[in-house]
Order: sequence, then C-alpha cells, then structure tokens
Amino acid sequence: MPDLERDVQDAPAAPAGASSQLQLDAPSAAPVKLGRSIVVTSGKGGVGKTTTTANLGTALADAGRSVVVVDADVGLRNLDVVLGLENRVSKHLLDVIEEKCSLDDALVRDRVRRNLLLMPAAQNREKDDVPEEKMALLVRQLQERFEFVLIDCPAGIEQGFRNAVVGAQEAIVVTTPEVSAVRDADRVIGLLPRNIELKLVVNRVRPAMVKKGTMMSVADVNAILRLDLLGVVPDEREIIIATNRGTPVIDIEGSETGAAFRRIARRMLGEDVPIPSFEDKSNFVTRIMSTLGLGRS
Amino acid sequence: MIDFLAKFFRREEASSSRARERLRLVLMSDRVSLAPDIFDAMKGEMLDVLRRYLEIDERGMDVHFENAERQFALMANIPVREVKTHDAIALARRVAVPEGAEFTSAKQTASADAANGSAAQQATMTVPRRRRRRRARTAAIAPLASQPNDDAGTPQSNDDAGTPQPNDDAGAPPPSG
Repeated sequence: MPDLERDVQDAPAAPAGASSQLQLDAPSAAPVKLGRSIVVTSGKGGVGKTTTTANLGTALADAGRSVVVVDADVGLRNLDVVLGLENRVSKHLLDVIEEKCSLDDALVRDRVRRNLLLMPAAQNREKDDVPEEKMALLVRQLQERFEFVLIDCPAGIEQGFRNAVVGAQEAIVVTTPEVSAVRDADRVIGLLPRNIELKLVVNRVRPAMVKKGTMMSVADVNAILRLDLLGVVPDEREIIIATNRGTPVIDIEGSETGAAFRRIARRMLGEDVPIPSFEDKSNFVTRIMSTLGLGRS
Repeated sequence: MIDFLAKFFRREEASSSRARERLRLVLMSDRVSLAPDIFDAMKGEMLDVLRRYLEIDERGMDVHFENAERQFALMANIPVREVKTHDAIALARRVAVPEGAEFTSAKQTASADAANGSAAQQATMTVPRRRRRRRARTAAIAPLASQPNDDAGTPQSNDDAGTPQPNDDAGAPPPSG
C-alpha cells in the first residue's frame, strides 16, 4: 500500500523542511488542500464513540485515504487500546500543544495500515489543561497533512467536548436506541456550532428487539433527532471480541458490525450505499437456543 | 419447566412505545428550559393580554412547564387582585388595537403573526425538524427582541409606522398607559 500520508505531507504546496512543531503565530503557508476534520460525539458515555472512531478511521485507511484519529479524551484515553496501539504510545497531544515534542514524535503509526495514525491523549492530565485555540490549531495542522482527521470526543459537554469540537467542520453524532442516549444526543446537537455539518449514526441496534417492539427503531430515534442518517450499526458480540484483542471489528470476518462500519466509511467518501434493513435472522430454532442460553444472542 | 415455558411463550411488553413517549416528554421539557428567552417572551405576551381584563399580582404569580405523567403542560398560577370593570376593559382593548390603525395593522401583522406563531409553536410545542427548529428559534427571537410588544397588540403597536407602508395611522393618538 502506498504511503499516502507521506504523499500528502510531501505535496508541493507544503514548504520544504516545514517544521511540524506547533507554530502558533507563524504566517500560514501557501494554501494546502485541507483534509476533512470530523468529530465523533454523543454527549452520553458508552454509546460507542471510540469504537466508531477507530473503525471508521481504519475503514477509511483501507480505502486508501490518509487518516489520523485524534483521542481528545484527555485523562481517560482509550482510542489507543481499541486500536491495539497502547504499547507504542510515548508522547501525546498535550506534549505537542505545549511544544515539548513535535507532531511526528507524538503520532503513532498503525502496525498494519501505514496510512493510519493515532494522536494519543494525555492520560495523566486534565481536560481543562488544553486551551481551545491551541486545539483548533493542532487540528488545522493535521488537516494539512491528512485527508481525514477523526476526533474522538469525550463524554460530557464541558471543556473536553468544546476542545474536541473546536477544530471540526463535520460531526458524527453517535447514539443508541435508548431514551438517555437520544436525550443526550439532542442536547449535544444543540451545543454544536451552527456551521458544523451533522450526521447521525445509530449504534447498538438489535433488529430482533426492534421487530418485537421492545427497542426503539432507527426511525423512532431519527423522528426526534432529525439528522441526516449516516449509518446504522447492529449490536453484536463480535465487537467485544474485537475490543478484547485490540483489533478493529471491521477486521473480523463475517461481522455485521464491521460491515456496517465499512458501509459508513464508503458513505463518508460520497458513495451511495443503501442502509440495509437488518432483517431479524432469528427463527424458531435459534429462539429456542437463545431461550436455553445456547447459541448466539 | 413452567418457568421455561412462560419465558418462551411470554410476549414481552412492547416497551419501545413507552420509550418513545418518555423521550418525547423529556425532550420537550429540555428544549423549553434551554430557551428561556422564548419562554419569557411568551409569558410577557400572555400577561399583556391578561392585564387588559384583570389586575394581576405579578409578584405572586408562577408560570412554568410541568412534565406530568402523561403530558407536558404549562402551569400558571396567577393571583388576581381585581377583575376590571366593563368600561376599563373596553378602554384597554381600544388602546391595544387602535381603531384607526385597525385595518392596516391587522393586515400587516397577520402574516407576521402567522410566521411567529408557527415558529414559536415549533420551537416549543412540537418536536420539529432539526434544522428548521434552529431557524425557527432565531426567527422567533428576532422580532420579539426588536419589537417586544408588536405582536401582542399592546399600545406600542404603532411601531408599524416604521414599516414602508404609508402610515395612515401616524396621526393616531399616542398610546396611553
């Protein structure tokens, strides 16, 4: 696979020998084609922001794009673990912002996909330590070098949220079909800057439960949030296995969840990929099995 | 065994409709409490109307939204000191809707009222389309902020003179009280 990140970096527009240090008051260089900066946010914790960021980043990298995933969850970093890169993290986002190291020192390259990089968050610091303007500048710098800058937003609506959002042009709002998650998503949507382009991902959908009427459907959720629907991700046991291993679920063969993330990535690239209706695959036999506690849920 | 059969044949309650309903109510109250400017404007306009008919004890009043079990309601407790006399009401109403200006201002405000009315309603009472809600909010705030009493039909209603319309009503008596 060609090293696309290098290609972008060496694009003619980039001044030769440009320092990758954060230069706060340096005049902006010749116009570089900026990548897309996209924040993945939800308000509520535990709805799958980090998983979504990791898998979309990986899928976009597979599609040949240069991608950086930024962990904006200072103090509670997890994107490194989900990507299986936790042993390779040495410097982090705050080191870059405080000019203790260069951008390249902090970026961690994925083992398999060389065009996927991670900007880890600091684990021993607090979200309030990150000034919004510097975060915006950092994202901007990353946009100059990567086609996609995916920012994993922390839960909550405080400073960490503002930092994650400040440099983003687009937002993917992740929610699940639960009252609390939809409520928090609604709140977050109201707090996002008006000029941000909003898309919705409904995660952890269980088609069998929707069919039975024991879970809100995607239509129910989006009747309330009214955003452009970017994708629907079914709930699956594979996601837990993937997280255990530190591999993205899109790498697990036959995973519906992985396939859903891949489709979302293609939609992000402008392809017209229909959202399947996730038919309930259970039949009489599997229902008996699951009632007995056997077989897959 | 019976337990097992019960588990197998039991039809679970279709709780998704319950989730939908709870979500609808909780979001209505969230959204209202997040738009205090709109709430204050609405309260002000309601009081303007009530004051034409009643003497109100404004310090003792309490207007708020309540998320009751099955519905979202506007609760108002407004102590009345006195009901106005017939003549006082007639006077208050005449001042509120100046006769000379009645025709033109009615025509002028009709469309504005319709726009504001539907916008305000969208912002609070329904679960509106997201992008529309955003616009609706600003639309609802802007005219209220710039011409606070215009739509309420209060004495200041000859603010209309500022519009490009020929101001036939420029000679109307200045509002009193």
